[in-house]
Amino acid sequence: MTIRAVLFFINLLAGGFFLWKYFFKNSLFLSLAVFLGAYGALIFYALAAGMPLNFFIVNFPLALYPFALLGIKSRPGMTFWPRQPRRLYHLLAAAIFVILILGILHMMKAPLFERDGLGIWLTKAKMIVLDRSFLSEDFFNPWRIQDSPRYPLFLPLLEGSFMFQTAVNELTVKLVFVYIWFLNLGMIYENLVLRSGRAAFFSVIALAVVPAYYLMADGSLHTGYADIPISLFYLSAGIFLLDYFPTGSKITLAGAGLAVAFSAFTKNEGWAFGLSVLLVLIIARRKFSDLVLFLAFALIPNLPWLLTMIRLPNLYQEHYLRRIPEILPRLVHIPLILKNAVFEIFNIRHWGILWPLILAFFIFFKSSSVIRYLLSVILITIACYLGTYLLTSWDISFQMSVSFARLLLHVTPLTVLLAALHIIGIKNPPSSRP
Amino acid sequence: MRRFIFFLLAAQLIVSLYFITPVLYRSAGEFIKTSGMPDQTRKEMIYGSFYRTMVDYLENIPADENAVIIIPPREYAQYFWVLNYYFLPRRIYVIPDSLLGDEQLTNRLRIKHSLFTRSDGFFFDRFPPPPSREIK
Repeated sequence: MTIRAVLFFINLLAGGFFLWKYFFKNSLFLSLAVFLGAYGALIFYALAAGMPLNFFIVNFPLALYPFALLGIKSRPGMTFWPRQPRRLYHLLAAAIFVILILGILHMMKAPLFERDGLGIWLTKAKMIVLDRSFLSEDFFNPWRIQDSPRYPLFLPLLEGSFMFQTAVNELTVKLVFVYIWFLNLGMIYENLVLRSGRAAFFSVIALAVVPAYYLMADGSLHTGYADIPISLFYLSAGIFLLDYFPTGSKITLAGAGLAVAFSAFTKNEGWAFGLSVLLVLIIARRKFSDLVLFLAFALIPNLPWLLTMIRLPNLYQEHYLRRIPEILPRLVHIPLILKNAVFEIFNIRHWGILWPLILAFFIFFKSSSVIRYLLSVILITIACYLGTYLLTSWDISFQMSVSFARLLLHVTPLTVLLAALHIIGIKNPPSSRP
Repeated sequence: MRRFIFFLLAAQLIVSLYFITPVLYRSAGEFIKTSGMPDQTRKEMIYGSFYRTMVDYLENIPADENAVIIIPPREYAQYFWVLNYYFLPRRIYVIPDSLLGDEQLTNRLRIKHSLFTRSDGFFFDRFPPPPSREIK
């Protein structure tokens, strides 16, 4: 089982190396994240085409090994250590190592048992493994599946592929989340290290010690929820856009579109993020052809999923958008929603002083237009999230108390990266282009 | 200004470490303590008496009979859905109380056992489930 688990992750690494070598040469972690999304999507397409989950589908990245491993000319060592080495950096690297190890022990101490992690995402994954498909009769039977049948399938497919490769085990499947956490931190480090070694190390530490990643019963690292995986794709899209806005590069815009598509395939909130990016592209007066390119890459990969979703049982919990005609009388709840949001932002037990700190940075430092665009994407996304509380049938305060902190987790890595770039200045961005 | 930023950052790190250090310390201890345990023991520790009782009960249902868990409202049912795939070929369904009297449904699904209902006062993790009833 250990060998098969190792093979699974080597496959993901090989796929990432492949993208790194041929598409995004200056950004290994970004390539790994994009390949992770592509891996889930490609397995989905194979199963949607009626193929059963089997060894060849789960291990398709084996075919990429020769292309990925031969003749790599990039020099990772140049990217992964600051240009001006200092003794302090060794100390900070050691601190990150200790935090990572303790974080892994925290994640791997117990099998998954939190409500959504076990009852929604992992149950779907088990169904896929045991039925070798998501097209089985059980998957479409409202009495046989959990109460969110229309939740997207990226995470169940990823967990399911890992369990198919190894065994159905609620503990070892958490390694998938270790990998995703590693990519989140790696992307921030990689994007900052050439600009400022100090900013890179401190940003990674600042993100890695945010209490919400360890203390919350819903959505933390150990819970198996989809909130941290979706934050990986938000961060990926943000990094692509950081390159796109100053350069207008089509390939990075396509990458941003793909990252948005993967985020929507991870959680439905990804559509709100996609809408926010689109609005900001329009506000920034980008070319019409760019908008079409972004929409094509954000929408087309998800068309098979949207077509499948129509066939899935439709339960009342997921009917938020149907309440839009009733929104006017619900506007009276806006003050309550804002009050709860502010309380959460200042919740020291979840965030320390992260959000007030970041707000202060953005208020007191002059920012570049690129940072302002990305910040607008985050603010519009949060506004969309808050808007959904106007449509909920639950008690607003109760629902916000259990879900809003998780929604903030979606944008936390991207916000930390923007704050760091904001302080050090966004000069000479390392390009994601080939 | 640089000093001020470092001061703020240091404050954030100290506050965060204040909250997470005890948790990470405890987790490291738990990891070491449980890492040698068999999977079954570890699951029982996590899922508690509920898991043990349910497993014992469900394993005694004949393989060709299905069971139903009645626990409205639906949004509280996640913990029970996870049992679906532990006990193949037995099938565990989760249905609302109102459908239990629907003979067409119970016959079609070959449901012979009902495990418990919320009206029996069962609440996850607090009390053991009441005795099961065979559907006539």
